[in-house]
Amino acid sequence: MRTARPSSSLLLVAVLALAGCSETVNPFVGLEEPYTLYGYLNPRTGRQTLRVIPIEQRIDTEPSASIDAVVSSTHIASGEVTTWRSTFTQFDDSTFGNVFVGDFRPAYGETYRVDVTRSDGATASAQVTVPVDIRIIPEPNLSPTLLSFKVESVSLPNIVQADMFYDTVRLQPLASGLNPIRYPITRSYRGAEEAGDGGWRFLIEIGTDYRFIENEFEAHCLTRDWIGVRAMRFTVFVGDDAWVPPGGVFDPDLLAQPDVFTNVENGFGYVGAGYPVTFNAIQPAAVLGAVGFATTNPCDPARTPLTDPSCEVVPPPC
Amino acid sequence: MSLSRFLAVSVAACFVLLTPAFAQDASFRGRVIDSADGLPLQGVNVVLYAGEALYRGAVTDADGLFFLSRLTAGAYEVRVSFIGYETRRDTIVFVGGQVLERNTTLSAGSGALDEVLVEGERTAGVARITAGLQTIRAEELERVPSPDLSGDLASYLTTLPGVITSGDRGGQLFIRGGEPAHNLVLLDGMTIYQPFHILGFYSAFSADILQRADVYAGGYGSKYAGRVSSVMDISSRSGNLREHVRSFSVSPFVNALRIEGPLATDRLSFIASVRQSVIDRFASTYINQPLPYTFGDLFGKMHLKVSENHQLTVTALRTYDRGALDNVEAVGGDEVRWNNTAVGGRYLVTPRRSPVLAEFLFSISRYRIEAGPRNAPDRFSSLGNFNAGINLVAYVGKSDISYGSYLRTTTIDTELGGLYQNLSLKTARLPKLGFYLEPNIHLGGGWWIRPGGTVQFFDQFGFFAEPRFRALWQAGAHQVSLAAGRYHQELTGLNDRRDATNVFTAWADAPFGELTRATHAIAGYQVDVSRSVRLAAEAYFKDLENLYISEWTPLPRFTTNLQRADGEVRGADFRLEIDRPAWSAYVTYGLSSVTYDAQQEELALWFGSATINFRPPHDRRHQINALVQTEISGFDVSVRWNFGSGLPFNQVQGFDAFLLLNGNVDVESEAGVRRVIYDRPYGGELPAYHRLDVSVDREIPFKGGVFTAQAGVLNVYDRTNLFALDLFTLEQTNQLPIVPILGLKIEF
Repeated sequence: MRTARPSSSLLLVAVLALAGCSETVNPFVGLEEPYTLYGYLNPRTGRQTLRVIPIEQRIDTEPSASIDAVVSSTHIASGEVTTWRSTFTQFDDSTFGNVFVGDFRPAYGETYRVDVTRSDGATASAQVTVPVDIRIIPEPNLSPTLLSFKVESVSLPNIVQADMFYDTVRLQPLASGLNPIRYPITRSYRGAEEAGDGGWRFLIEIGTDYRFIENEFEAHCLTRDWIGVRAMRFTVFVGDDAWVPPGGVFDPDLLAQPDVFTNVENGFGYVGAGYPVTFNAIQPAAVLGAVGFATTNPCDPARTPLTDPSCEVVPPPC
Repeated sequence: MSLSRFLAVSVAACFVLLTPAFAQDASFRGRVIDSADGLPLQGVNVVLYAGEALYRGAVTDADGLFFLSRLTAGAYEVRVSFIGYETRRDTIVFVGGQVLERNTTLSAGSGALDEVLVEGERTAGVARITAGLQTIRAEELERVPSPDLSGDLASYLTTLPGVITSGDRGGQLFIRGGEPAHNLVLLDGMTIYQPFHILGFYSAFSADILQRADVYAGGYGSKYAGRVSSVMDISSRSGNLREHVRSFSVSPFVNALRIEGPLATDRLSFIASVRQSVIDRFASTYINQPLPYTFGDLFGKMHLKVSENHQLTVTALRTYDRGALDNVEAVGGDEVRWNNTAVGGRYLVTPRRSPVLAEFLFSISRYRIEAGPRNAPDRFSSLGNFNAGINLVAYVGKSDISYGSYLRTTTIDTELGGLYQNLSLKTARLPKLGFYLEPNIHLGGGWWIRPGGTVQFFDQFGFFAEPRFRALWQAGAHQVSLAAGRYHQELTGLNDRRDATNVFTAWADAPFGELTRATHAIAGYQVDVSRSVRLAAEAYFKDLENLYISEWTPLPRFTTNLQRADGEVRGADFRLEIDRPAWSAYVTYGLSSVTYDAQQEELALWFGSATINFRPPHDRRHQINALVQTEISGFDVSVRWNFGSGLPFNQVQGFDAFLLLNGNVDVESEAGVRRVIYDRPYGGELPAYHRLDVSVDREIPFKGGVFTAQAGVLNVYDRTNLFALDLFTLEQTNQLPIVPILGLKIEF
């Protein structure tokens, strides 16, 4: 039996050594989809843009200018194919990414297919129909402060976004003088449209908007003694019929889930079609004054703070 | 009914029940103490014989007290026996209506229990589990190899099936599927919110100060309320009433000092203990790994024998922990730190004329946890608890009735730094009044039942009635036990378990107005196969409602929403224990399944159903623990092997970016945010955990004391056990590698 002892010991050592081996953990289950795509075809411009995001295995993978992707679009009715060019773009936050540019103008009411293909043949694609053309027609004010806009087209368009924009200026009185502060404020009217007479009608109560603006100023610790407005614009963004978020709300927490809002086959994201239409809605001083906007500069009538180029600072929330 | 009116009715009910029943029967009671230190002996058999025939018997409780009531007048022989002590025999005569009180002092010797005569819930030993209850004594803690010469409750608990821990670090204990915040920890009646230290071997309860711990893994009786998973009812030791004893131990992990002794012999004693970690300075050096953990505890207790029938103890505890669990090598990274402070008093009365035991409790506990950048934490949660209560036991023949009342107020102050976007926390105050009743009825034929219940009255939430039931059947070597109950928890511990390294728990009252609820059911069987071999098996079920977990989100961000979930726990434990003169061993196996159903409206869009069923990250399906202890040439050798199947974790399909395309978005300007494309929640399984630990102790007596040396190795075969995996960087944080342990202790 003595001769068995060394082999037993060796066996024990071997078992312990094997037991000590570490097992690697692969947290990735793999994904066939090659790309996530964001962008929309705009019939009002001859330059189309599409963000192409390769699906990576590491979150810290830096985008590269030499992306392995070819982007093309096909006009379904004619079969005409356009190849897009790759750009390496720096975004507003100074990071970089891959944006492809297609130099063509899609036609209203036509259907296009966008394909993004990797060198191994994996393709993410989306098909989208460009919405029909619309016009914004101002209607007579229902009251001095109640504006009415009609969005007119051959069929009821899908309004993805509707905003009333106010380019406001606040004169902050300081011991050293005036401190003009520019504060652009947008109030959403998405979902406020009413159907009628072959289009949508939007009613804008600028008195209500003025109180909304006052609250915004207060939220930024700005007194609302003197708020002027130097531009007002009403904008609608018309999208393709599928450009409707689940639940009707663009909730980032919900829409961030990859499968929730996508029209991309073999990929994620959304490739839409749409365009913005803007109407200049600045009102006469009498109307603005009636809802509370300042129409004259109480501190220095010689200057016009509304156009003072130094007042370009958006205050941070407090 | 108003709170004050309810309080008045409760107190009146207590006094009505205090009046002596069966006044014409004789009663016999007393206290058994150890002659060496004057401290009570628990588990002593006190048996009355009428001639040679056994008449009645009792077992002493944690205070060394025994009660026998409804005795027929006459002469009896009383035998008082306990393992390791000389048996005392005496003759006593009972007169009708008399409450005879007699205290007994036992001296160490070679005695053994005359017989196991007394029926009741069997205790001591890993296989002595009765419907979820396991009693742990200080000497059992020392059997488990750990870098602590005294042994610690935390290390021992990890050997029990159904107890899942976050590993060597984190101090998180999941008991039979419940979350750490679902465990009620009491020390001498004081609530201790987080007694487990940041390094998993240690808790505030070392063997130096622990007398016993009753660990209910579920199915606990009517006396306990306010938690939905488990109860750890811990009794601390009192100081030696007869001589001064000091001990001091050093190791690369922890240094400890304990002093105890009489301030007035046999009347007033004290015990004080302090432990301080040194792991960040010493152990991390020879492991060659950063271990940025600091923890410690201070414990003190005074014990006054006011008279033979009145005893007062005052206990105080302070613990603190601090360390980094994530990215431990980073300078200026995040860390977590917490502390507990508790002070309490316990006044024990055994009225001369009534077969009743009365216990008055008073305590104040405080707890605070902070997390965030070192030296500038941006999240905190603090709790304050005031408790005043009375517990009574009336003895009626072989049966008894436990009942009592309590008034508790918990204050909460939490700042989450925006962790949960849909939850605004503020300072809250949760007063509640409770009353419980639990008769322990001997039915004969080996059956004992404990039907009962507790009612809790909250200012905010109203009344909650919680029925409880425990039953026991004993026949010879066999024991069957059953337990069931309904439980509510008004305090919610919020923990973002998306990140395994995040042990920050924020406390809140019911976040959406719904209290966490649970229903337990347990059935167990144990058998003494022989005098030295025991087997036990237990099956359990827990239904958990209104759990609060982090919302599922694909965005890799710190903040999230809170969402509601329900849980279901099913499992079974199997235990084999062998006690031979030369060696002892036990093997336990735990089989468990924990599933959560999370409800969230958005889930319907993500997964096709508003409810997703998943395994939470503490769902360890299989667990094995084996421990062998023996003596070789004067050395105590302990070997422990621990295995746990892999824990669930979130797998990833890939990473991309997300842009909110809500209209006129310029994709050449908007970068979007990075996104994780997760697979279904917790669909992956980490590698199994296993480890072998060995320790060798040698006691060297010298005149007036004992010197103990310890050497050993943790993780003998250097298994790389995973603690956490960063899905974004793939950086792995592992449990401890092979670690030599050394320690010296002197007691004199």
